[in-house]
Amino acid sequence: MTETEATEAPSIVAHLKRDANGKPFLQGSKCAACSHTFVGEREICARCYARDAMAPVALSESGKLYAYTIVHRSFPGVETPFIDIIADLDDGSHIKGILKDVPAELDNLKFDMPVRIDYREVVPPGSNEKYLAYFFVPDAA
Amino acid sequence: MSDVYVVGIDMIKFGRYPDRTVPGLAAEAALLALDDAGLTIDQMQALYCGNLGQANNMVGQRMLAEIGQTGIPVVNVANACATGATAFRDAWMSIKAGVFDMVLAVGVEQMGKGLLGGGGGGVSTEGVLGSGTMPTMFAQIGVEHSREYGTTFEQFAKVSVKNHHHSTMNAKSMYRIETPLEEVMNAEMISYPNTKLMCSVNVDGSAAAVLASEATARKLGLMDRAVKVRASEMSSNPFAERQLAMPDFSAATRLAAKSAYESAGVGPDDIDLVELHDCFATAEIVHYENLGLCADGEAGSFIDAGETALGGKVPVNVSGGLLSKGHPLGATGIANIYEVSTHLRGEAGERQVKGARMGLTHVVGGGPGMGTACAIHILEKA
Ligand SMILES: [Zn+2]
Repeated sequence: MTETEATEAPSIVAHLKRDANGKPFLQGSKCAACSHTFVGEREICARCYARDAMAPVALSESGKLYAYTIVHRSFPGVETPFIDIIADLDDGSHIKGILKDVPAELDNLKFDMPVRIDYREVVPPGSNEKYLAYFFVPDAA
Repeated sequence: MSDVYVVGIDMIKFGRYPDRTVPGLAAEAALLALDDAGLTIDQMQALYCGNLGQANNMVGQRMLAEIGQTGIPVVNVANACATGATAFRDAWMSIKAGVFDMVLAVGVEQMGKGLLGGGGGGVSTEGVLGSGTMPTMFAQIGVEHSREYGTTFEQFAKVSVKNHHHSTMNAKSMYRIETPLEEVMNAEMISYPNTKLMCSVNVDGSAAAVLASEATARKLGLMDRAVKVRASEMSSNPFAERQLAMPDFSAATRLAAKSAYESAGVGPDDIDLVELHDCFATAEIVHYENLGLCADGEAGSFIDAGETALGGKVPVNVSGGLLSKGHPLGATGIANIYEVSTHLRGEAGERQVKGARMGLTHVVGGGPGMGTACAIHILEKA
């Protein structure tokens, strides 16, 4: 439908894409030589230096919390506090994001707690337009 | 290959100098270093000038325009927080290679207040895809250490108590104020566990060193206060598992430390004092282990036992460190070398590390999506 296409929010970052049906996914690359999965598109492996082994993959949408911080001071116009986490995704890749849907308090954060990706459209600080972004939420599973 | 010696070295008092120019700040340190050696600018065969903020504006040439246009080769260097140390190392290499006998290295920075990090074009992802600020990056590195070894908020905070205490004995420090543990822990939280008093201070500053070959230092009668460069090593970030999510400063530090100990033929137990890159309190804790000052997992108990305080096993950041002395990015690397040299010369006054014969300096910088530059120097009383 052209109407929804016209209002489809652009992605905020290159490694966040939409598939042919408009469904968001995180673009990754997997090295066939050393099996490391990278966030984003790339051609050469930074880990094993292989030049012909990289293939595009869609990244896992679930994983575990590896490390965290609660950000109380950010750049002007950015609402705080928020929970900044490093997640280890189930496919072995690692990605930073904001953990949503829990109050920004240390008691709510446990190492290795299950998290999953949640795609949302937001208006970034300093912008007037909506962008497609990704967040983490606690995963009940 | 000749041994290389620091024959003159000094720094300006770190502070805020909004009315001065970058070349002007550089010139002041250069003249102080020349005076320290009793030398003049026309005796310098080359200039290595480190600065980040005006990296494309030929700070070295503009500095010479203020203190003497002798026509010598000038190399302007930019390498994140390792900028000053990189300029020093380039100077060292030029003598080591036999190209020059005596050269000048300068590091300088003029900074605004506030948070560093982020940047780049396009719509900002700050507060959407996480935070790219420096305090957040180093908060995550601290929390990772807590995850592995149970390091506590209080142990991280003790780094700031110590370094702020050290700075009360350093007239060239930006701040010279005691900060008790409760004050550090109750200060404004920036990114947990780093409170405001656990973040380095953005200041203006400059530092400079005159380096000479052994033959030249002897010929000019400068060996009495000379400091021998036992090792000068650098690294960039090797592949690290989580590098795309959290920049890695540890692997690069470990690489450069290994190289430095090997090329000096010494180990961590031979080091009497260390000036390391305490850009945040969490960083100092992980670097104790990265530099081999204590075993992996022991950094928390190491600070608890006071081993890195003045009078401890290996005093760290006796100058007050980046946390209190301040962190003018391009100047920091040479200022660290000034601090260690001052102790090796026995001229550090109240904060003198007694009987110091060998010291180590470490800087490491970089950022999200950029990479890491690390430089380590081992210095010895000549
Ligand atoms: Zn590979």
